[in-house]
Amino acid sequence: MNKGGALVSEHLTAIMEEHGEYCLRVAYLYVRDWSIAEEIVQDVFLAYYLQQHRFEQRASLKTYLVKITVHKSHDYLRSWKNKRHQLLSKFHFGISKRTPESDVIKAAERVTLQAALFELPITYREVLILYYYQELKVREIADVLGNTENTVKTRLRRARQLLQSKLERSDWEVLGDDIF
Amino acid sequence: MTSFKKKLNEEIGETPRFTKGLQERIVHQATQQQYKQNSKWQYPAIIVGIMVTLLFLIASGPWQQMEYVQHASIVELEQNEEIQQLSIAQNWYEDSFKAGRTGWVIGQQEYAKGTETKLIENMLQKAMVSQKSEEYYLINNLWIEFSNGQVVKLQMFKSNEQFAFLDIKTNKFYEVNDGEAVSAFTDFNFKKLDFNFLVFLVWIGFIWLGAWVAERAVRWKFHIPKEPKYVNDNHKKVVYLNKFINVIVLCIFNLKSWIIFIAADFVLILVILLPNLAIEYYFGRHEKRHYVALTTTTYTSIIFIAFLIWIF
Repeated sequence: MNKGGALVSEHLTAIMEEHGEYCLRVAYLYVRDWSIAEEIVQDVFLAYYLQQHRFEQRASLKTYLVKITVHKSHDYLRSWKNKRHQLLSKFHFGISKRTPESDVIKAAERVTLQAALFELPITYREVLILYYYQELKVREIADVLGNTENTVKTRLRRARQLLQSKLERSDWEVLGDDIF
Repeated sequence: MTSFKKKLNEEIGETPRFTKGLQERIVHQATQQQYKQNSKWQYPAIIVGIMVTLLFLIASGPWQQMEYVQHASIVELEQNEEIQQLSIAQNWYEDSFKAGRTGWVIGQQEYAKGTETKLIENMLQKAMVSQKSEEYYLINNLWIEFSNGQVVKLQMFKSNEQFAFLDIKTNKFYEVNDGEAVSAFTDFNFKKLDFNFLVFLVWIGFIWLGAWVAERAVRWKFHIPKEPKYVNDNHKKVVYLNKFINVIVLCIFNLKSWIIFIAADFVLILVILLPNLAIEYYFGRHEKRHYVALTTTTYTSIIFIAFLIWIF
């Protein structure tokens, strides 16, 4: 690797140290698969590395990287690879044996925040992830998703309602810090 | 940290997932990709290649390869065959020819077999080969297709009450000395192109307004920012290069008088719009900027087709 290349990869490593973990977690919360999330994050940092001249510092680097992660996650969710994966999963669950134990485990899983979150449509799930998990402001979410602030607020309200219907009262309190 | 985040982290695990191994993989891939990225010249090269190919296709297109069958004289041809189709284009410049196959050229009058073709037939039957006189001046270009499929291109000259024709292919000059044939032709009220410049200007205004509204609507719908105009410096350079090439292409089309050929106009529209679409897609797809270019391309194509339907 030449001197310039070494400098650039040092810069990339520093960026990844700071932002890698949360990008990976955001990707996971979109696709619900750690290995796919790793692939997405790999693509995110490659895209940033190859086109970093496009980053004009109008937003923070965090928001910029989250924006790329969201786009890449959407790309994956729309891809044939994901559709095939989902179809195979359904097929797999269809033939798996149902036992009383597995039913109990599944019922317990259903009440977790994670499980409830993954039951939401992506439109609602993503605003919750970006607002409550990534702690982005409504304006920043609007920028990341390419929507208006009002749309984001409406989706957040609807997402909260949907999530509330799926959670126990004690779990629901996690969304108590509603500040938008 | 929000309680939502805390709870979710507890559920999905708080141990860092972004490992050193993953970092190293990304750095390795980034180094490999850098070599590919350095070959950015490929995009402009592809665009220029497409445009040069299209220009080559125009240059060797069918409008320059009309079917000519050797014939002794148009008089001889006229005596044996009937005119099936006729195009007349007004033109006063001998170094250009503006009439062409019916349905393919803008601004010409087109006639199927009928009174108009009979009048031309009548004149051509009475025509006689002679020396070209300086008294004649060019008034029209004629494109004629005969019943046997033969095509001739003629220049039509006038001098006082006399008419004459020049066969472009054989370069033979014919005078029509028959007064009856000439007066029948001149007395006939040929349909004129119904072109009102004011109406044309109003149409241009509406088209421009429509384009403006369409662009605003797309920008509003998809939240595409107008400023900054360019995503980055490279985008700006490529856009300027594309505009420069467009100006050259327009000049070539104008100088070569290809602008009157419909097929050439289609190619011209493609040459101008497709690279623009490709550039906007390449540089601005994350901001959906190519949606604006796509709208402009679709709108222009529809307007051009509507224009063709209107003039024919």
